[in-house]
Order: sequence, then structure tokens, then C-alpha cells
Amino acid sequence: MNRGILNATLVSGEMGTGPFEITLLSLIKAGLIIALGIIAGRLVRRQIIRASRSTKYVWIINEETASALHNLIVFISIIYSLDAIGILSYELWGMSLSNLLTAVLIFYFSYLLAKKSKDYMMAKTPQSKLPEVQVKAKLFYYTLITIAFFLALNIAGITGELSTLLAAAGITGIVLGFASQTVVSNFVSGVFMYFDRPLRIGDAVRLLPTSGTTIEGIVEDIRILSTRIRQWDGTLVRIPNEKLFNSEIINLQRYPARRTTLQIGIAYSADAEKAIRVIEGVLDEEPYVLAKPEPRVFVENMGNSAVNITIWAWVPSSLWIGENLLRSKYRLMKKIKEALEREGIEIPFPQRVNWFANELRVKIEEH
Amino acid sequence: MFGEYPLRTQFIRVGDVKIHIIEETEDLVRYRRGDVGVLLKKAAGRFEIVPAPAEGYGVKLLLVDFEDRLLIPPRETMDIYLTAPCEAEARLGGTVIDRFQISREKYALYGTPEVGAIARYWRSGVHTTEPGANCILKVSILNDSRDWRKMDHVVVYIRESVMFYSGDRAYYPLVIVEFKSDVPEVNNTGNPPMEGLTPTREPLPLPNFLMRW
Repeated sequence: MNRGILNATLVSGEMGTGPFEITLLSLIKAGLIIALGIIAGRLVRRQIIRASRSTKYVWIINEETASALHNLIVFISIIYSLDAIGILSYELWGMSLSNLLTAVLIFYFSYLLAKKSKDYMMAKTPQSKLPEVQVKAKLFYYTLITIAFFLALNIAGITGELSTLLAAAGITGIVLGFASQTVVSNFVSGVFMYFDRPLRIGDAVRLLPTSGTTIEGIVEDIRILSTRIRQWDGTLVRIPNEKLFNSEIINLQRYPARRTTLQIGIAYSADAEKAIRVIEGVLDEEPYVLAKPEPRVFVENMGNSAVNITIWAWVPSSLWIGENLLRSKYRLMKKIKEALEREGIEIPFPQRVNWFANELRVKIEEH
Repeated sequence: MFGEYPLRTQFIRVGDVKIHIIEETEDLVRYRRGDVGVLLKKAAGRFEIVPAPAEGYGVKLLLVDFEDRLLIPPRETMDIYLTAPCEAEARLGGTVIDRFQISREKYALYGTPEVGAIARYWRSGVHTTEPGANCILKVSILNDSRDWRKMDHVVVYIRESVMFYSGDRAYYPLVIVEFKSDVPEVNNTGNPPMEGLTPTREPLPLPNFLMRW
């Protein structure tokens, strides 16, 4: 091989759909482009990392952005180098390599853009508005990713092949349709829930799903297919959005105060008026029973074993949930019991009086 | 009661609350209040006990109900004194090591159950001179409107408010209630209600509050 002849053919032949040649000159050119790309990428990465140590815009100027830009520069240099050696016109499974690479590039950087935008939206939002913005940011993220995905498919020229494939495999399509029914249903429920807003991230909720098991806790995350609830015992429950959408949702913290109902049984022999006064005294002393609206105490009914006194007390919603019940509800119950006992008011246990129609005869056997 | 204390063995009384300072070693001091205990290393910082606004479990508003209703003529001003709930902070070198109640703790719903807020609750007589209480709230009422105005409670924004003290008495900043229309505007001025009081911190600008209910 004569080295003086720069267009000496190193590789030649039929690849893909057309012949192409790689010359020494084009190889050197390609190598130089990649080398330059790597150097430029590293320089940019180093500068951004250095800037990230002193900037206050750390949400955008950070190591992640530095790596993304580094990758972008290297990727572009690879495309140019492939172009230099003439490989971009090569076809792979009926798609041109240039289209394929452009599609990958568009999808990858759309993903980065979507992720950064989502992070930015959430980072710039005050804590009080975060739950709402979090859902919007996620919707934006998934929409952009979906658009980028189909755009990339279109650019790569896969759309036509894909539909042909799906049409050809009709049975597979039907099977896929049935299989994805739940996924689609969850997705649609997720979208409806976004507009209906029965709950927000950070809300304390009680769910009464159709299956019957009550779930109670704090909404941790609302995703496109499911919602996550951290229960009071620290476990995380993932509920498909479709199931959640069909559940009865009780929002325990939507309003600042809520009325709680407690019931105490006192003995028939006890003075109900005195018991009411004692309970009112305890409610007045208790910090977390609101002074306004005033609590109400009254005899509700005559039970089998006790006269049932009902208490309606307004309480701060945030203190009447989860572990806070220990310092609010349960402490109140204990204080009421102690006060009633101190005043000699009996809290009876269930009793049953049996009357025998005939006189009872007792037989005593002596051994 | 309020003020700076040397870090040596002593007993401090703040209202009904008892605090013990015990020198464990030459440079270690134990702070104890009931179940709360903090081991402190002696340093140049000041140890002080100062009043704090009655935020309780984290509320922003203080609602004081008047025992007697007020009636203010048009274009008139009126200065009144109310008793109020207070908390106290033990601070070392500016860092809060303990916070506790020195008044009765009670809350109320201010507004409606849908759009109201939980406020610290207190009931006070209306005084024209400073009453004998742990914690005082001075309110200046300006009726700029052309009508007589009734007033039976005041709601003040107190979150992170500065407080003032003198000996064993704590003071909220001067509060100005202005009737321009039907809805009075309440301004926690951040200024001392009288001369010669010590502030607990640099006053921060607090939002004016429209007393809708």
C-alpha cells in the first residue's frame, strides 16, 4: 500500500445498502475531531464544576449539568467524526445512521431538559406551594418525554415500521391492549385526580377503598400511575390511582379545625349533671380542646349498662392525627377518666341481670 | 425573673416554673427544668431567660377576648391594656436551649372552620392603666371612620415577634388597631409600648393583619 496516496482504501466493500470508503485522511480527521471534542468537553466540565463552588445558582450550575454538557460535546464530536469518514450515510435495519443518531441525541437531551426544568420548577417554589407545583412539574416532565420519544421515533423513521409490525401482529396488539388496560386506567385516573384534587402531597388522609381495608397516613407522592401514602406506623403504601379514584377519601387536615366525638358511659346511679360539669372542667383545662367553638357535653342515650355521655369538642386538625393523638385525644381520655374517678362517678363495665322464670334448685353432692 | 444570669449554682423562678442551674465541674453546668436537662459548657456567651410570644405548638395569631365590649366614637383614639399569654426562652450565647409556657395554654378557632386559623386564646379584662400581670399587651385603637365602632376582641400576628421585658414583666410590642372601614387593620408595630424596656431581639417587619372576624 502506497502511504503517499491518501485516498488509499483501507476498508471497502458492501455494507448496508451502499458501498463506502474510509481513507487515511478521513480517519485522521475523525480522530482529531473526537480528540478536540473530548478536550473541549473536559474544559467545559471543569469550568462549570469550578463555577458551581461559588455560585448561588447551584440548581443549574452543578456537576450534573457539567457532565451533561461534556457528554453533549463528545456526542456531537462523534457524529462529526462519523460524518468525516462517511459512515453517516450507512443504513442500519433500513434506517440511516445519521437519523438514528439524531433521534438518540434529541431524546437524550430532551430528557435532560425535562429533568432540569422539573427540578428548577420545584427548587424555585416556596414550601407552601410545593405539593401543587410538584404535580405540575411531573406532568410537564412526562409530556415532554413522551413528545421527545415519538419525535425521536419519527426522525429515526421507525414509526412506519412500528405500525406495520403492530398491524401484522394483530393478536399481539389485542393482548397488549388488554394487558395495558389497567395501566391506561391508572393513568387516566391520575389525570382526573390532578384536576379533581381530592388530595395533595403532605395531606393527612383516611382512605376507605372498596376492598375494605382502611388506609391512613400522609400523602408522600402522587405519581402518574400510583399514589404513595406513608402510614402512621412508618410503612409506605402504593395505591394504584384507579383504586384511589374509586375510594372514599377523608381529608383529615383540609380545614384547620375539626370536631371530634367522644363517648363516656357512666353508671345509672351516678349524677349525670355532675358528670357533665366534671367533663366540661377537664375540657376547659385541656389546651388542645378549642375554646371557640365551645365544646358541648350531653347525655346522648341510655345504653345497656351505662348512661352514655357524648362530647363534641373542636380540636386543631393537625394535632388529632397519628402520633399527635398521644398528646391530644388519649391524654384527654385519661384526664376525663381520672376526673370522674376523683369525683366518685362510676364508669361501669357491661353487666347482665338474669331472671329465672322458675325457682332454681341446687343439688349438693357429698363425696 | 427575666434577664441575664451568671452560670453558677442557683434556683430561678419564672412564673410558676422552677429552673435549677447546677455547677457539675469547673467548666460544666447542668440546666434543669422538670424533665428537661441540658449540659452546658461555660463560655463567654450570656445566659439569659427572656419572654417569647405565645406561639404554642406553632400558631401565628394571638386572639384576646375582652371581658367588656369597647365602643369607640368616630375620629377618636383610645389606649387600652390587656393581659396576654406568654412563653419564656432560656438562651445561651443567643441559642435557645429551652422554651416553656408561663401562662395558661389554650387555643381557639379564629374565623370559620373552612377558612379560619388556629390562634392562641386568652381572655382579658380591658384596663386603662397597666394591670398587674406577667405579660401585658398595649393596644392603641384609632377610629378613622365616621361611625361608632364596637370591639370585643383583638387578633395580633405574633409569629417571631420581638418581645420586651423589665424585671418580672413581659410586654408585647405596641399594637395599633385602625378602623378605616368595617374591617379593622391590626399592626404589630415591633416598637416598645413604653420607655425603658429591654428588647429580646431585633424587631422584624411583621405583616399587617386585617381582622375580618
